[in-house]
Amino acid sequence: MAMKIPRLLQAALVLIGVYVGFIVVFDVLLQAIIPSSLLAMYMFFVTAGVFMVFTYDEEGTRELVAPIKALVEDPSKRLIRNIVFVIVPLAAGAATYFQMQPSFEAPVELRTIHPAPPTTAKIYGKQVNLLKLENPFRELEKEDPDQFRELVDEGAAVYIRNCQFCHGDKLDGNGPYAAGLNPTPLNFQDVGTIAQLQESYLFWRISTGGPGLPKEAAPWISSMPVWQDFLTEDEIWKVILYLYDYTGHEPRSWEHE
Amino acid sequence: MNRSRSNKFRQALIVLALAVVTVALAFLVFDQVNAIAAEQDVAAETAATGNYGPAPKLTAADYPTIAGVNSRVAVWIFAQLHLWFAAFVLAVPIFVFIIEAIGMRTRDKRYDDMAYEFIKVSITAYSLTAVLGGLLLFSLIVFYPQLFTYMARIFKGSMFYYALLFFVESAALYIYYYGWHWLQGGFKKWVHLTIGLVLNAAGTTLMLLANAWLTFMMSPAGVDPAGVFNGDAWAAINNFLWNPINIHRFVANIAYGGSIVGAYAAFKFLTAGTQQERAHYDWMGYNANFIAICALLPLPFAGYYLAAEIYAYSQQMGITLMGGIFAWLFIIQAVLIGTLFLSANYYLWCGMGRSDGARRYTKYIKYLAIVLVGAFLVWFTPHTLVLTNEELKSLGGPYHKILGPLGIMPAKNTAVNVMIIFTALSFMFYRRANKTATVSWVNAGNAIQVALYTAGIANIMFLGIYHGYFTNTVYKVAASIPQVLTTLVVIAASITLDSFIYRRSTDVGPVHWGRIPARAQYALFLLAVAFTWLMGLMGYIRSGIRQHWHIVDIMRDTSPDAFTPTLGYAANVVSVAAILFMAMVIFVFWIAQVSTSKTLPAGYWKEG
Amino acid sequence: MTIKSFFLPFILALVAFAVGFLLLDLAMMNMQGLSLIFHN
Repeated sequence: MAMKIPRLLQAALVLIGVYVGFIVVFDVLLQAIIPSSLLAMYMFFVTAGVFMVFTYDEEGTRELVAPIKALVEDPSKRLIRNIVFVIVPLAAGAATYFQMQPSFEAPVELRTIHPAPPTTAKIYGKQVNLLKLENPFRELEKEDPDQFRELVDEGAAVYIRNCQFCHGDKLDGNGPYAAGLNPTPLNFQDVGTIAQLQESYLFWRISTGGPGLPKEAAPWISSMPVWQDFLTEDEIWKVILYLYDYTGHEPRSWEHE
Repeated sequence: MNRSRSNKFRQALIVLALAVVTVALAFLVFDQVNAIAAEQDVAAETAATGNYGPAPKLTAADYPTIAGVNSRVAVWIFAQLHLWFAAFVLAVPIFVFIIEAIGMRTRDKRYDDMAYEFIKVSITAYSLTAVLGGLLLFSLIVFYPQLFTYMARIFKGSMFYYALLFFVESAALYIYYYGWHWLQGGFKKWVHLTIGLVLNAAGTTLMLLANAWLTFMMSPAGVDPAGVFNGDAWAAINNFLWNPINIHRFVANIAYGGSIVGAYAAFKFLTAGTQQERAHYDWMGYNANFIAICALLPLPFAGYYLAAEIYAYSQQMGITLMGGIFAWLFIIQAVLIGTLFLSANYYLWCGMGRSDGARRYTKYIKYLAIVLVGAFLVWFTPHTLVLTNEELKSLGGPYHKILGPLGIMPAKNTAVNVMIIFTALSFMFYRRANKTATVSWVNAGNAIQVALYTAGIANIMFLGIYHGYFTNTVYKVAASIPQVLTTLVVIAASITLDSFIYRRSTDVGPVHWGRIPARAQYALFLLAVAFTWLMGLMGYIRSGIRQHWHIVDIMRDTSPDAFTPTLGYAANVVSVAAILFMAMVIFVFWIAQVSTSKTLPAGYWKEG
Repeated sequence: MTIKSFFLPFILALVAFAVGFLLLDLAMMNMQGLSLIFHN
């Protein structure tokens, strides 16, 4: 007869297994660690799920709870009970102590990566309505492909001279300076950055840079230069053309075609 | 002979009266719309003569205060309390109407009794809704008089008829409730049902009108940039976000109402004295959970549609909503929605114990749980991760290669569609638990069911992964439509197929109503509480994305309290409001119970 | 025997549903003015 693992132990093993599984998959196999905050949330709901599976019927619940009931109620288990009742508060105390201990770790920052753009902004000395702003060269993509190509190439030249040091020559946020920056330069290849945004948003970000970030994007520690002080308006628009052209993403359009 | 003729005469009179009421109601509604539209002609002149001025430019001094009262929090809490009760009293007539109709069809009195009990619960809630509406109105007039004046000048027609419509709703509700046991049997029952229809029509119209005012504040129409109204009241009502809010609120109300009456049934189950009572309230809880799940299934898409329309209207509002400061509140929303799904499913799984044949299906529960929890984890994974500095260094940036893509909508739409399908599957197992199929083609039928779910899930994943990550944003958003339709098709087709597979099926045994653990009732409580908290949170967000505008881009909010509060503060206000609401709901439940209890005081009354 | 009585209907139904769902996708994307497969 096969030895039946007590249900409580089954539940514990599942939880431990899932926890170890997350760590092995992310930290070891994929070489991209799973953040502890996320892991904590994941494990909370995995525990809820395990609880649900182990308690939906009366028989299973009775079996699950039996060891705990025995520990607490069974007179023959007095010795174990007393040991557990001493260890558990001590363990709780130790956990609390270590959590309350101050560390040299800098406090966690919660940055808003996608701050909402203002309706208007002062760029190149004039008030620009960001809701209505369009890339003046975008229409050439269909109307005059040859001229569009030229503009993209000009944008590429501006990018390589100015932007690739941080954002990388492959536009993946891995430029030579990237390792020294926090926050790190945006990866334009990622489907969650320029592919989700409108061109006016990029124009705003590029021309006003880090200092131009709104209140909700605190702390304003971005190293993004204020490019309107170094580039012309046309140059910025051409770089934007190049960003989309190189990565193959399309800017978020105003509405469905 | 005479009696039958006078009966017929009376019936004809009643039909005539009802027809007159219905037509009058229709006239009222359409006339109001026509009157509003006719105002256009008048308005064209008055606009030229400047009867409608621009939106006032206010300063902090224009906002009256009362010592010791935070006007913003007061309006916030009154509005939220009013919304919760309004959602409840609008939803209950919807499903009571349907349950009454089912009762009339099946001639099963249990349905009629349950419908009556639901409406009884909502009667007290109805007066509380009105009280809170009055409180809201007064606090708007007292604390934000210029805003209210401006809105009232534009919406004078709809506000006036809104107030009048309460007469219709009250009349319908009181006749519907108090006349329930009088209007029984045959023709009278049809009359009763029709009054229920009138009640629903009035209630829905009231919601549509109120929705117009709040969506106007978000996406104003019919006014020029200075706020001068052009007189077209219909344009102001039918603004960009009006219909998305209408759809979302209509469906969400039903789900919410189901969860509240489910909490009522759970409460009565836990306090039941007899086995019979327990069985009755167990059955009621099951039906309430069923209503909540039915409406919960299309709800994520209604919400996504609303958010997509907000984004389409204003990139700024859209980004603030989901990419900016409110983004973290959406993670809380995701967690609460997942909680709703898990609670509803847990209740179904616990409920399978009512049937002796459930053993055949309970072995699948762990797989359902694995998929549901897995999808839930994807559903709430944030795009911006909370990282310690060490983790930030290790990852090389705030983006995670693998988890990052789970943080944007295509993954989440896929996850939620999977959660919806598996909830429907839970329900299918529950229904099958007590049946044995007798058709010869059972195996083939089950094979087709498996194929249906497999193909459906594969399609959902294809649309989510391919269109979500390998196309552009237009395709990405557009693909959500076939995705949700796939889910709905799978659900509809599997229910239809099962009805054929289980044609002339035999029952394994009687359904043991009442044979369910107390834990399951707490799942129903959790459903109601999570829903309430979720609505409060979403209400705050919807209102908060206007930020420093009373009416976006038209009328600035310059009150001292116009700041966008910290997430923690907002969460606290929502929580306090939710606790107040829960207290009032308990009062409502208690009143429903007290109304049937009798005390016979010995020796109190005079003899004779 | 039972595997065959399950397997064959399963495969046929799977293909039928897969085709059906792809047609649904095509119709819904076309209704929005888009093609099913994205080409720039």
